[in-house]
Amino acid sequence: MKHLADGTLRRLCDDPLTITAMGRAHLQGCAHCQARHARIADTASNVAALFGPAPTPNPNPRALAQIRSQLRPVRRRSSLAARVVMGLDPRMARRRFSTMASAAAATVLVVVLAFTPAGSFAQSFFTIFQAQSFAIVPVSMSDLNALPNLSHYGTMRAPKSRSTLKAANAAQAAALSHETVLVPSTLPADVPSSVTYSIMRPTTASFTFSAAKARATAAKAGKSLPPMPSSLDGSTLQVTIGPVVAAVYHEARSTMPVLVVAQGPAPSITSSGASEHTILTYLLAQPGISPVLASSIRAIGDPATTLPIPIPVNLAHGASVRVRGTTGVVIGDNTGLGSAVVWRADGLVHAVAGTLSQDEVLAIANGLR
Amino acid sequence: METIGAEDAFERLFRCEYARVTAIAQRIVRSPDEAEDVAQEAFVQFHRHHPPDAPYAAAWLYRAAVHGALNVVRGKGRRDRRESAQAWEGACRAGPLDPLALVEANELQHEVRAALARISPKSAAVLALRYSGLSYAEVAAALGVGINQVGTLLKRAEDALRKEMRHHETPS
Repeated sequence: MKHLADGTLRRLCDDPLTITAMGRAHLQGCAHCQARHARIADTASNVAALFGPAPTPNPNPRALAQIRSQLRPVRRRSSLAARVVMGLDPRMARRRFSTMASAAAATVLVVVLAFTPAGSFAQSFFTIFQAQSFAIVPVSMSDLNALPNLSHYGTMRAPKSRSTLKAANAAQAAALSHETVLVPSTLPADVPSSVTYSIMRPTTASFTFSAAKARATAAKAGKSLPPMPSSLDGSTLQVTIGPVVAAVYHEARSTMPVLVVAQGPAPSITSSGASEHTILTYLLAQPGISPVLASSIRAIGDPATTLPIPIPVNLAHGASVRVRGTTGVVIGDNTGLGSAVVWRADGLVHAVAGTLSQDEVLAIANGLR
Repeated sequence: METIGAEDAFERLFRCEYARVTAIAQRIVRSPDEAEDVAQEAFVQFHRHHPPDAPYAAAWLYRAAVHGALNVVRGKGRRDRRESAQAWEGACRAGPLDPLALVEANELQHEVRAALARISPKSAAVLALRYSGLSYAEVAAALGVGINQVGTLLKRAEDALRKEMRHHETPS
């Protein structure tokens, strides 16, 4: 049996019952693990002494009232801001709404399809989506759950397994991916130097619409669906991703990433027949897409070049940012424990993400060579 | 539009979690008043952006308390490093019930808080959460990691804290 992991030995200090019988037997017979456990327990004991007993605060009885008093003026400001944006400055309102709706429209296409690998097709496709820029799309779990389940509307085809290669260094990763792989020129002091390169080979997913399948699903559920246009029935969408190169920085004895630097061609969607307009119109008429959202998306111009970045509103926030002389998107965990920045340059989408501050991921991104 | 039901749910959330959120903040900031400020800000932000009955409410509040408290400490600048090293050595010599350790407790915790502000936010978070009395499962939920990762994170964070406090020892 391999030696026990540091995390197992640490948890053993707090909860001796969590270790397996096999682990316990190993520990009893392994002087190396016993010594490590003693060191870990010693450090834990000293840290516990440093912290002392857990605080037992005696909360201010007016705390709830104080919280509510802080909320009141903000509600008034929000209301005023909403009036300004939606009522007094219709130009600004349209621009804001258009950005959101554009991203949402592309979300319907990309989020549902983009990450399922599929086999390639020798058909004549034309591009209906090519990422040129990014937009932040705040989403909730209910938004995601409401997206149409495409498997009810046709057939997804995908290779059985995703093909990933490992590389020892950036030069090898570059040779395998046929891309110039950017590497950080400097790293924050607490980012470990151990790095693993992974290359996901180019992957294609496809989806073929089927009116018969949609009708059968609806009949089985005892519901009716809007009829599928004849130009859509039998039409195939193809999503192409990769090759994606990811440099994962982690502690020497752990695979948990502290920093990930990734790059790959911008994803694209092609169609064998139906136009983007036909596809969107049909998808947006499906149950689960609210009428307000659907009508907003129909009203927009061209959603075909904006790659949406869904941001779960309960966990994160996003904003536009200047990075390497272009406009990207920076995403932050709501509590500041992790950040990511995404941008497009020379036909590639780049991302830097880690358990770092936004300033740190931006500095790493700007220092890539 | 706010509903009576939503406000009731928010009050329930407050009653269930306020003391704990304050305790987590108090692990990092210096005074109970500052901890309450951090806790109240966390509840205000949660109220503005989230439904009060969200299943992730407690975990979100715990994380927000850590982040808010770390921001407070960082805003006050770095602490004297020699004191950090001395505090660590003192903790190693004396057990938690040693009278000297108790006399020095306030200063010691002051230095621990300063060291928390210098290590990585994730390490500071796992320490503040665990040493506020949260279970491994609660720490895992608050940090968005698997429960099996908590031991690893905790061990790494404790090493980082020890290293941070020793690292700043001034040569005599």
